[in-house]
Amino acid sequence: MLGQDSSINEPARFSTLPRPLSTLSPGEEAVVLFVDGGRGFTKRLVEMGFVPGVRVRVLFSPNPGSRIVEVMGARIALSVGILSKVYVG
Amino acid sequence: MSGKSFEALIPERRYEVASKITQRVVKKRETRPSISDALDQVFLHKWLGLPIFFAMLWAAFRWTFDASAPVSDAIDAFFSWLGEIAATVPNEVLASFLSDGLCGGLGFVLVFVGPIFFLFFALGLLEDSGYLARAAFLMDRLMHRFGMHGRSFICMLMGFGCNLPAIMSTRTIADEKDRLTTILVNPLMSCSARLPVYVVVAGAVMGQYASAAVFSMYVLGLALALMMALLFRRVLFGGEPSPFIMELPPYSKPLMRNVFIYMWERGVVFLKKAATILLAGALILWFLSTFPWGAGVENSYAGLLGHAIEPLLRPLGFDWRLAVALFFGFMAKEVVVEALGILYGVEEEEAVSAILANSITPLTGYAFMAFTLIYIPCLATIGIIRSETGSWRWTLFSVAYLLALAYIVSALIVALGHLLGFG
Amino acid sequence: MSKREILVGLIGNPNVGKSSVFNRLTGAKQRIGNWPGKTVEKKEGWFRHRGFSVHVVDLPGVYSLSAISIDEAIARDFIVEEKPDVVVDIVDASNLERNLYLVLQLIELEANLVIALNKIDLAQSMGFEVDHEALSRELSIPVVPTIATKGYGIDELKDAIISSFENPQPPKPISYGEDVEQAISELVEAFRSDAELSKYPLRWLAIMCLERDQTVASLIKKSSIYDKVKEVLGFER
Repeated sequence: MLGQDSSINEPARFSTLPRPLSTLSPGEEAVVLFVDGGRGFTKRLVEMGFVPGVRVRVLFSPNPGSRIVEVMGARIALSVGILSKVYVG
Repeated sequence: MSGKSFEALIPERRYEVASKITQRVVKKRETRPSISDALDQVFLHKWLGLPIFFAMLWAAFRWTFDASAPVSDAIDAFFSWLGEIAATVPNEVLASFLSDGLCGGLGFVLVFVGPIFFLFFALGLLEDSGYLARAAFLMDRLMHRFGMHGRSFICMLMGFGCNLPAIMSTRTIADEKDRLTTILVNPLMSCSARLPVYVVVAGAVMGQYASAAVFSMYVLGLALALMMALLFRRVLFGGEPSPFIMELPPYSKPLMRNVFIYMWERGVVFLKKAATILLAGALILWFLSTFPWGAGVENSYAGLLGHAIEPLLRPLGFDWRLAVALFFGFMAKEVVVEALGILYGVEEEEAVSAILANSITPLTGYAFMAFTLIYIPCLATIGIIRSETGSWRWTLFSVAYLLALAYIVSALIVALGHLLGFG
Repeated sequence: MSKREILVGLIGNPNVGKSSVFNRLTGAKQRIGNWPGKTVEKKEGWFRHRGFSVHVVDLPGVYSLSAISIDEAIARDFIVEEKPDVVVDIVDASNLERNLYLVLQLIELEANLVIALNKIDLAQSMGFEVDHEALSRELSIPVVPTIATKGYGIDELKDAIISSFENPQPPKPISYGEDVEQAISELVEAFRSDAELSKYPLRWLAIMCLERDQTVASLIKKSSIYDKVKEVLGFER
């Protein structure tokens, strides 16, 4: 019963399905849900401010491989590869 | 338990606390868009970003190596003048020590003061204004492919002027492996001191292909640097270069106070090196080429050394004179030309060219140019590799790998040349 | 006579104006070199204030003290091993939330902290008003507002360093929630019986242990209470 409940409720926590931050286009904003970057890297991202519950905004994309993102009041430049490890909704 | 591991939970809790405290102590009025937004739209623009970067780089490069030239010339002139005075000392040995050894050595080392202070002034400006972080970001994709970091690019480019400030500028690279890779391959960037050697040798033996041959040295150096960077990354350090993630600081007007302190502190590191290890090295070279007293260069310790290593270099077609010249080039690569002059007993560069044209084949000449490009960093560069890596092991490694690489590449050139029917 | 030499560690996130603060504090009395055995630049400086001679070590700019990067390891080792008399954390007033993360970790480390709340002019121009007195009360740490680029607040910062040295105030631990706190206190209990581990701030050690910090984990593996710790961590799995 409990298991059923949670499996029904789980997706409802998200307004949309979690998707990687790399899929956002410039100007779009979303809330960080979780970071899935393997041991050290998850921590690195979390410590730069990519924490569940925090709003992120993609400012612009200077080239196809990278993005400038605003999170917690700072602008961070990173490659799309890293962004795909941050899931937002 | 929420089902989350503590590992993930604790950082989140820290941010929860941080967020609560922030809400209690920060009053937000209205938020205005910052000027950094507008500037980044330009400096990181899809099409404008790179041209602006290259323009800035060009300006910094000219500033470092052209604007500083009068300073270097003045220092050079000063020590030549001092050397001439010292040469009038009655005791012959003492005169030679003071003039050729001390003044000559100090002159060789201190001419770098100009470019180094000027370079760090320019870097300080770029850093303090917030632009350097953007520049690194712009170049990261390219450099990443060769196992380096975005910040490595500027350091590599500076190497075309002089490897010494270039290696010192790797201080802007945060990751240790990225920085070490950049330091190790930097001597392959053909510095301006190597140009006179190319010009004289190519002019002597390459005929109408002289300028193409000179240019090919720069390409060869760059190609080898990128190749070795990739190799070191794969074999020595393992893994990828650190993926690019970097906070872009807000732009701000550079503070002259900060820029001057930035320049001064780094310049002083070099001055201290110059006064100690570099001067000592120059004096050792003077000693080797001057003693036994009155024996002449061929029978000096350096000459004997040249004869001793000649068999090793014979397969490349280098005779003992070229060997000694390379040995002297260890002090500063432009000395190779001067050394050849002494060895052939002529003064003018044209005369050196004329003799070379008669004594070596174009193939040997080309192999000699490549060897000069690669073989070992000059004394000053070795000193700075030591102080920047903080390790004799890496310093010796850089000397050893460059020597081996020089030999291999020159041997390949000779072998390929013979195969194609040159030489 | 008490000790008149004060060792200060200067720490802060990247881009908070740390080098400006460092330059203002020490003027031209600086020395740069490398951290022993590392290719990371080490800056040190000196100044005299109210009869004290203050030695300032500029630590690398870091977001946290997790020891993932070399910079973080250097900063953390310095604070843990060298035990500076005072740690000055430069906090960017225009970006308080993000900067508080490092502050909290320094509190965990039981460093004798002074906060320089820098760039208050920038914060104001961006529409923020940071109440530094309220922040000081929240954290029980002295907070000095500064604008390092203009030299504002530097003398006050020097005063704060001296008074923190004279009256060290161990920072109040900040609760991370019941579940976490329970695990922390169980670990702290376990650590207490080990003489080797007692050299370190136990609460910090416990938190690092829960965060699976590699360095701390290997420290604990060598200690006498490894089995006990495994027991405490066991309920998590």
